[in-house]
Amino acid sequence: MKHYDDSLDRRLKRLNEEVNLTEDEKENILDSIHYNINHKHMKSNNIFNKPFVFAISSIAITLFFVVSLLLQQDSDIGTSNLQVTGKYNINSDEYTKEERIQLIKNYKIGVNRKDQINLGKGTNIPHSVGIMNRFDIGADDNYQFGRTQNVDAEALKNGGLDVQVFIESAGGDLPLSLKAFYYREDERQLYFFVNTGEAVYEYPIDEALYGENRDLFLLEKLKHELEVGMSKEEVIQNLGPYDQDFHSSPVDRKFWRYDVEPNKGDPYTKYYRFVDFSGIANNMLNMQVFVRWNGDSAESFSAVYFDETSQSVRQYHMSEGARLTEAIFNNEDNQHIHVGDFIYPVPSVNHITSQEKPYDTQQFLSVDELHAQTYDQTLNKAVSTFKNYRPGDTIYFEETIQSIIYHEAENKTEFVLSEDTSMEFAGDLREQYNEGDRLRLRFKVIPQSADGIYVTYDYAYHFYQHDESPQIEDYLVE
Amino acid sequence: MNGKAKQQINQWYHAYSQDLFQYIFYLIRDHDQAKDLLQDTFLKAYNKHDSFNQENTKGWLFRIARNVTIDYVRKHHPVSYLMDTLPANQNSDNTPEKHLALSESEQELYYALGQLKRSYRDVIVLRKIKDFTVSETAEILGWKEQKVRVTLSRAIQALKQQLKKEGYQHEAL
Repeated sequence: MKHYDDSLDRRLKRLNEEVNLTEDEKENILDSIHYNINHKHMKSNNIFNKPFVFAISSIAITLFFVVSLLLQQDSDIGTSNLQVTGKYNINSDEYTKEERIQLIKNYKIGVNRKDQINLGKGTNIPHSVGIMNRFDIGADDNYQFGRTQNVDAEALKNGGLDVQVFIESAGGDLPLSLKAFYYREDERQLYFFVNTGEAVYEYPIDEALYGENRDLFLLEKLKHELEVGMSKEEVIQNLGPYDQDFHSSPVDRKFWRYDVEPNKGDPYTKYYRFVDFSGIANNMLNMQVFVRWNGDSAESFSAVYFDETSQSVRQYHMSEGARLTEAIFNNEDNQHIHVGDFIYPVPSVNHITSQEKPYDTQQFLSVDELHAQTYDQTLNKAVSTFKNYRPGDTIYFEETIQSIIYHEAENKTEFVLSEDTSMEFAGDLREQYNEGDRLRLRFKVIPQSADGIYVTYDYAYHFYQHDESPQIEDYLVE
Repeated sequence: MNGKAKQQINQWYHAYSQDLFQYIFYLIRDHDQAKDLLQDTFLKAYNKHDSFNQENTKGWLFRIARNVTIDYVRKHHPVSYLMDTLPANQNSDNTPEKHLALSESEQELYYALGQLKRSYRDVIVLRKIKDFTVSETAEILGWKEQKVRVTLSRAIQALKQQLKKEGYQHEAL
């Protein structure tokens, strides 16, 4: 073991002094900067300028969605409203509003509906997973409300409704979750009650969250009220019940999603678990808010929404170490967003909406094709968003091993796959693989930001999480 | 042409180019590429000049340099970027020996630093090599000050570990 008396601090400082530009180098670089500044204007007079390309691609995206929506109409036809029957007919006049609320609170998740209260006829609501039905309890015969998930806070407040109940099911008789909204006249306060099967929440909620400007109020909450590290109770008190929860297994994180649909127009029917960027860009959704959970602690928040003023999609993201960072998706370069330890370049609209295009995700990609997946051709740089893969997707990868290097000190094997790409795995694999063999692997796309816009894949994530090479068996395609 | 912007770019270049170059160099360890990225940094600064609020110019330029460098690594070494490692320097003309007159002790440190993950390297370069304060480092990296302190402490431990692994030890911090 060699030994140095000098302190590490002093050695680091000295290291700095060893790296210098010569005076000639400095002058040459400055000349080059001047040259580039003076010729800057020549570059922008191109007919294929960015706004033009953006306009054309926006039209294409809009057309694509109109066609997609038309094609989806068939699948929507035939969905019938659910009739929930049970021992107690909650809609009968024998129950007061308070008794109705109590009966709903006693509703048991995971128990056959027939044994429970009779909520009457529900309204089927488009939903990403399972079936969501809305029950308007205490409404008179003339009551009408759009087929959306938004809550009719106005009717609850003026007595047109006693309770509005939303029940999610997998399509059968067993309810997966229930949420209910009601107004307490004595307190002049809107309340919600949620039973997810795992937890029950009941809190007063700001009724502005269910008004016409739900998106703006959610954004205000995100900017001024929410903090990383908050508990589920704290978040739900601020934002109200979520519209969807889901789990991402490779990162072992749970996510909540809030959807804000336009007040008018047809209900939106096409959902992804993570952000539906194109849906927001095309005004089919006003906003989506995401909360990423590490156990009971909020790890990050995101809001993705359409900004009328700038006519562009915007994103707010909040995570530890990066209180609130903002991106505008406008196909312009030089935007970055902080997500935890990372700074990501904001991808172009063209790049991110290419995820909508038909693509065979079962095909095997080469090294070059894998790199091309993260290369944003509009911005002419690599980004952290795949062109054709979303979080949860699997990337199949196949490449020829050009050479194999065993690193004895670290007991790892490096497969050189191209001039500047190699992959390494734990152990000595020289017996199992030879130069010229085809390496067939599969990688899982995992979300880095709360909304799933910025991603990586499990192989790369392993290196971030651990200080050792991963096992090849975890990625091998049989 | 914005004359004021050009004049300021000149002033900033003379004041900070050496510091910025050193910072970029320790992020990518490629002398010639660091020169190109230094140029890109000032061109970006020129383009963004109008929106700059003229506060903490040095921190602002370092932030631009960091973004420009990260973009470069993403573009040219996507796997290295995703793996949170330094790109392998394959050009033998750019090995540190050519540009750096490093003592044996400094070479060890130089290589050990290159083995650290990006966030550790970032915080050591800014705090210990470039001598930024905790608050300035936090601003450049977009972190909270507490995170800078915690990460620096872990980074120093990791650096010591790395030096130890390579068979060297030092007396004290």
